[in-house]
Amino acid sequence: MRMVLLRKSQVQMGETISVVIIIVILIVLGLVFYFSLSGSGVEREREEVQELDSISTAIFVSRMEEIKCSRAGATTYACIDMYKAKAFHNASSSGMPREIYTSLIGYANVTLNMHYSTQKNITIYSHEPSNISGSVTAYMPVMVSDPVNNTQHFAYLEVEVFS
Amino acid sequence: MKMVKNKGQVEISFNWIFVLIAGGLILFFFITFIVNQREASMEELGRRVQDRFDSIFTIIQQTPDSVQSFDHIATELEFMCEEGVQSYMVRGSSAVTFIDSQIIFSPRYIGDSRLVAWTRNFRGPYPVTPVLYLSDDRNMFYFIDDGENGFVRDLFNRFPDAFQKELIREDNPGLEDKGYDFYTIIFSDDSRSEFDVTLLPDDSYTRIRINVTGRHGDVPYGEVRDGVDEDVVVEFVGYEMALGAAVIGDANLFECSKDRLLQRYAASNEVQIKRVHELWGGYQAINPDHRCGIIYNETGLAMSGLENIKSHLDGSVNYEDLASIMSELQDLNDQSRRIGCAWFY
Repeated sequence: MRMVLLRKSQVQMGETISVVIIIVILIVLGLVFYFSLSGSGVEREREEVQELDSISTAIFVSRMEEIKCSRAGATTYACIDMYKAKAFHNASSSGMPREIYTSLIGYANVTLNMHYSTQKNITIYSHEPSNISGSVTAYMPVMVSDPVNNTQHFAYLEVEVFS
Repeated sequence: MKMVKNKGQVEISFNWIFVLIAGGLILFFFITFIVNQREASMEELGRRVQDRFDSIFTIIQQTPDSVQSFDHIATELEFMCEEGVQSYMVRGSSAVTFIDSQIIFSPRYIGDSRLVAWTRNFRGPYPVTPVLYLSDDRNMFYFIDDGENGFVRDLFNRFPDAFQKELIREDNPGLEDKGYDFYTIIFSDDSRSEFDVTLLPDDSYTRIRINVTGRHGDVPYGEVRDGVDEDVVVEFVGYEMALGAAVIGDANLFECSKDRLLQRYAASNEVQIKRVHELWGGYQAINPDHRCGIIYNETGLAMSGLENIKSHLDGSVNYEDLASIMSELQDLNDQSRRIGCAWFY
């Protein structure tokens, strides 16, 4: 094998190129590390936002005047009128009310779970996106009032928010 | 004289050129990266501030008929309305937040001072939605007195004390500049015809004329005219809308918020109609000829009232008729209870 002897200038050029290549590699590694860290942060934040979203949707729905119990013009906190809940589902399923309530609630399923009574569960609102990438569910205890039979039941509101 | 460089000299020059180009590229890369990061963080900051305001607005609205103040809000908000879509943005940020779930009446600019939020329930006559009125320590409301039974004086009395407000009586010489950034002058046809605004700095005030045409029960109806462009006339029904016009001080912005409120009213009315169906179904399960049929059956008083409201909200609204139906349904609520039926609302 023939040995190749490099001249001094060629060695210097090689050194310079090596230094630049190493610096570029370090920069690329640094960027990959930075973006992977910030990417995982974004993912974590997205999950947090989704959870908060489901809780705030549950609070918002439970406090909508359209479904709250009312008595002499005053509405009651954490109490849902059974007939209003059914009516809300019927009204928000089509036409103009659907548009309005979709803009307020978004893609979600809201169910009144009457687990602690003989009554059937009541779907209050249902609007699922065509492509579901995930969902988060929040629960909220409420009182359900039946103003016709003058009875009240314990129930919980199940709010599944889609993303 | 021709100079011939030797190989060593050429090599040193080449090294310097190489270092300069590589260094320049690296420097350019970092500067671009930092600038992009700075822009992204500014956007992020704006978004976070808007998220915070969104939460504040939602929370405030959950406590109807309350006044809440927030110590120095460091950011300034600009409220806008384009093509029926209400939105706000934080000054200095390009991100716009569209207002979906709240009905907000606010002057165009608020913030960078103590924020005051006031909520009332819009009733049709059943509770429809909380309405949020916003102001701050930089906005002053001058009400030009229109007498003992005047509507402007009535609105003044209904305004919370936490809002910066003053009733300008007949003997008051003029509207003083008291150091506020913005003044809203509210007057009616019954207010004195001339009021002196020369002491107020130009572009620091807006005028709005609010006239009540009549009342049915305690439901007033009337019209709002822009103080500058008198051709802009917007009708209203109920105190919540009239108060909204006074807070906004701009007929066009008021019309935008009012339209959103009417849309919500129409949707809520559909729910009420369906509820009456459901209630009547419940009563029929007990007794097909239940006495509550007079109110809740298909031709009952509740249904006819709600259908009347629907016909108004679907077409062109006659505000006088709407006020009349609202008032009738108020009476129906008491009537339903008197005969032992479920509260209408």
